[in-house]
Amino acid sequence: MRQALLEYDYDWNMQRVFDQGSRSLDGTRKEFERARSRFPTMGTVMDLFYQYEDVGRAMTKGSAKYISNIVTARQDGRKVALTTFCMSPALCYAMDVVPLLIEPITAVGNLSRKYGMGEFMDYCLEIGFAETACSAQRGAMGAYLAGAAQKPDFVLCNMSGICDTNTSAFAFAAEALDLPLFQCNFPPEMRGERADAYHRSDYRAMIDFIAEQTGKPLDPAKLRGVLEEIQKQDELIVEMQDYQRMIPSPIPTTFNLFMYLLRFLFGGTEDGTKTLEEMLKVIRKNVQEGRPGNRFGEEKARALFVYTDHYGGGLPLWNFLDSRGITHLGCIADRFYQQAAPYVRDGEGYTVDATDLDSMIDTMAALNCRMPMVKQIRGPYDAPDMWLEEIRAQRELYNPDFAVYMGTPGCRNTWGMVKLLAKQLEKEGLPTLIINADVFDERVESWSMTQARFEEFLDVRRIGI
Amino acid sequence: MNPIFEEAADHVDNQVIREWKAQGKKVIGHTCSHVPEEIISAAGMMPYRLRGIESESTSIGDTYFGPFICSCPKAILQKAGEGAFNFLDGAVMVQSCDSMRRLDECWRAANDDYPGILPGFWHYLGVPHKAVDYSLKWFSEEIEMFKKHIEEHFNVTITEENLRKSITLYNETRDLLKELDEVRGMENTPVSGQEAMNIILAGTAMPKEVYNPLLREALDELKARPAHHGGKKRILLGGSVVDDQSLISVIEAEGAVVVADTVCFGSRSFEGMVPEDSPTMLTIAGRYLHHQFCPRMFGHYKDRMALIKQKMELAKVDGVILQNIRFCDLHGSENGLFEAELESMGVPAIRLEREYGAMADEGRLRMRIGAFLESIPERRTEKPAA
Ligand code: SF4
Ligand code: SF4
Repeated sequence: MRQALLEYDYDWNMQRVFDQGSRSLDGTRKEFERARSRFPTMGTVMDLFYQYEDVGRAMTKGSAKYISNIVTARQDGRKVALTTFCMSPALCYAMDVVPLLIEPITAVGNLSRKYGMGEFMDYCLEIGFAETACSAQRGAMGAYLAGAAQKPDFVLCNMSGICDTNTSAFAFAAEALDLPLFQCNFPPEMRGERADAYHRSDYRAMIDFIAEQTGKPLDPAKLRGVLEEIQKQDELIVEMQDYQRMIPSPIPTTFNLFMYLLRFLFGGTEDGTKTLEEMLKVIRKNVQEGRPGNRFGEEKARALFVYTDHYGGGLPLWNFLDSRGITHLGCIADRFYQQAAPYVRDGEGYTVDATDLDSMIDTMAALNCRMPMVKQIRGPYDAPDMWLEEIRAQRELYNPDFAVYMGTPGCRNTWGMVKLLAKQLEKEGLPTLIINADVFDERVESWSMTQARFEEFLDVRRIGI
Repeated sequence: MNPIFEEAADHVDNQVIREWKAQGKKVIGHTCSHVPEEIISAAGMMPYRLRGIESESTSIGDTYFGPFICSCPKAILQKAGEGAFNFLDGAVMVQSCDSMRRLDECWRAANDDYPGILPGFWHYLGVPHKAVDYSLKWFSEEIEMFKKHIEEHFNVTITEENLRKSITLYNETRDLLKELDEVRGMENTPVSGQEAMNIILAGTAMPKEVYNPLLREALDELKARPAHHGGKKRILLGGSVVDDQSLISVIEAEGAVVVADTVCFGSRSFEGMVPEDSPTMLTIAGRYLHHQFCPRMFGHYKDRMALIKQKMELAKVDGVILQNIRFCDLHGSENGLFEAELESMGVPAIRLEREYGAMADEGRLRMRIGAFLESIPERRTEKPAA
C-alpha cells in the first residue's frame, strides 16, 4: 500500500468530508458552490443532497454524525463493533455500542474518494485475504486492517449460513486484528418453530457476548426506546413502499438508496426517523401534484433490482435511471419484512412486540433474521420464503418492466443460482438482465461499460424507448 | 497394493460399487464430510462421496452455475449431466459452502434438460456453522428427519442395533486411517503421498464393511515394506478439496513426499469419533459439529492451526503447501492466515490457487511447486533409504 494512504486516517478523513459537506448545505447557493468545489469527487452527490434540501441536509448530517461517533467512540467511553449492513444496528444502539458497518463505509469511500476504495481492497490481498472475496467488505476492511483507522473492539458477524465470503471476511479480520468474534448463524429455513427457536437462542447468545465485551447488560428501557423508533420507521417505510406501487411512482429515484442507508446506519434512532419523515414529505407532495419522482419528469419504464444497486463514485446508476425516466422499484437492500409491508405475505414478516423483555428480544431476533440477504438467500432460491418468491411478490405489486441482477463477483451464493433465477423470470415473462460488474469496484468493469450493457438490453428488449 | 484402491480413487465408478449394485443394494451420494454416513450405512446402503473427477469439460456445469463459482461442484454437475451418477439411488445436498450448496438447485434444473439424472431420493441437510447447545439440537433433529426420510422413501427400518454397528464400523475406519497417517508420517516413510491418498479416497467410494478389511491388509503390507522415501523434502498439504492424486503426483514428481495433509477428503475427515455406547442423534450430531477442521465452521482458525502444527510435528514436515480451488472463500482466506503464521514460525509455506480437476493448470503449478521446494533449506537429517 502507498505510504501516502496511511498519512491520514481513513475514518477521520471521511468524517471531515461529510461534516464539511453537511455544513455547506446550510449556506446560500453561492456558498454551497464554493464549498462543493473543494471536494469535486462528491460533487454529483452533493448536488443531489442540495436538490432535496431537508432530506439532503438530514442525510449528510446524519452520516457525518454516524462517522463522528465511530471516531470519537473511544474518548466517549464506548466500544465499537465491526459489523455488517446485514445486521440491524438497533441492538448496538440499545447496548450503547457504536456499530461500524463495513459495507456502507466502503460505499461512502467510493462516493467521496478520488480513486475509490481500490487500494484498500488490494491491501486485504497483500496480507493474505482471498482476492476473489466480496469487495463490499474488502474496501473499508482494508483501511482497518492497515491500521489507517481506529481499531474496533470486537466483531459481530451476521452472515454465517448466508454468505461465506462475508463471514470469512469478519473471521479473517478478527484473527488479523486479534479481536473477539461473534457469528450469528442462520439455518437454511426462515420460518417455523425450529427456525424461530434457533434465531432466538442465537440472538440471545449475541446479547450475552456484547454484554461481556462492554461489561454492561442489556438495558430493557433502552431497548424499548429503540423499538419505539423502529416501529415509527417501519410505518414510514411501509407507507413509502406503498406509494411505490403508483404509476408513475412518486418516489425520487435515489430515495430507495437513502431509505436503506438510513435503516442500515440509523435503524432504531431518532435521526433515522426524522430523515424518513422528511423523505415522506417530498413523496406526499409528489403524490398530491401527480408528479413522477424521477428527474426526467415522465415514467418511461419501471426497473426491479433483484439484488444490489451500483455504488460507483457519483451514483451513476441513479443518474442513468433518472436520465432515462426509469423508476427504481427497489432492490434487495430495502426489504426489511415488516409484516405491514405491502409485499409481505401472512406470517412472513415481523411485528414489534414490546410487552416485556423477552418479547422485545424475540422481536429483535425476528427483525434481524429478516435483514436483506439474511432472509432470502439462505436456502435454495426456489424454496419457500426465498429469492424467487420474493421477486414474484414484488413483481405482482410493483409492475416492473424488467429485472436487473447486479452484485459483486465475490457473491458466490447468488452467482450459484442467478442463471436459474433469470431463466425462470424470463419464462414468466419478465425480461431480466444480469450485469457482470462489481458494484463496489469499477476497476472490474467501468460504469460506462455497465451503462452500455443496460442500454443494449433496453434497446433489444424495446423497453422504455 | 490392492489395485482396487487405485481404481476406486481414479474413477467415479468401481468394481466394488458394481458388485454392490448387482446385489440389488442402494448407493446414496453426498457432498460433504459433515454428512453422518453412519445413518446411511445403518440402513444397509452405501454412502458415496461425490467427486467431479474424470471431467473433461464443465460445459454442463457452466450452463447452470454462474461464472464466479468453484469448479468442484461444476465438475460434479458435469458428471451428473453426463449420466455418470446414474447408479445413485439417492443424493444428499448440504450447504457446505456457498458454491457447493447451489449444486442442489443446479442439479435439479439440469434434470429438466437431461431427464433422469436426478436420483429418486433427494435430501437437503441443514448443517449449522457452529457447535453450541441450540445448533446441536437443530442438527440432531436434522439427522432424525434424514433418518425418517430414508426409512420412508426406501421402506426400511434403521434399528438401534444397526446404528450401533454402523457407528462401530465407522470408528474402526477412522482408527485404521489414523494408523495410515502414522505410517505415512514415519521417517523414511514406506508410502508415497499419492498412494496414501488413493487409499484414503477409495474409502469414500466403497462400503466400509468392504473397505476396512482391505485397509487392514494394506496397512500390514505397508508396515512390512522397506522404507523408500528417505531424503526427500517432507510436505504437509493443506486447504480445500483434493479428491484425486494429480496434485500430489506433481508435488512428488518434483522430488518431495507428502507425509501429512489437512485437506478436504484427506486425513482431517477422520478426526473425531462418535461415542459408541447409547448412541443418539445428539451424540452423532456432536461428532459432526465438533468436527471443526473445515473453515465452514467459522471462528475456529486456532483449532485448525493447531491441527496443522500437530501434524507437522508428528510427520516432521519441512514445508507446507496450502492450496485452494479458485473462488473458494473459506480456504482462500484462511490459507492467507496460515501462511503468515507459518512463515512467522520459520516454516516454509506457499499458497496456491488452482482449478479443480486433473491438473487443469499443471505447468504453472509444477513451476511454482518446484521453485518452492528448491527454496526449502536442506535441513533434513534423514538419510536416503538404501
Ligand atoms: S453481496 Fe453477496 S458476497 Fe457480498 S456480502 Fe452480500 S451476500 Fe455476501
Ligand atoms: S473447494 Fe471450497 S468452494 Fe470448492 S467445494 Fe470445497 S469448500 Fe466449497
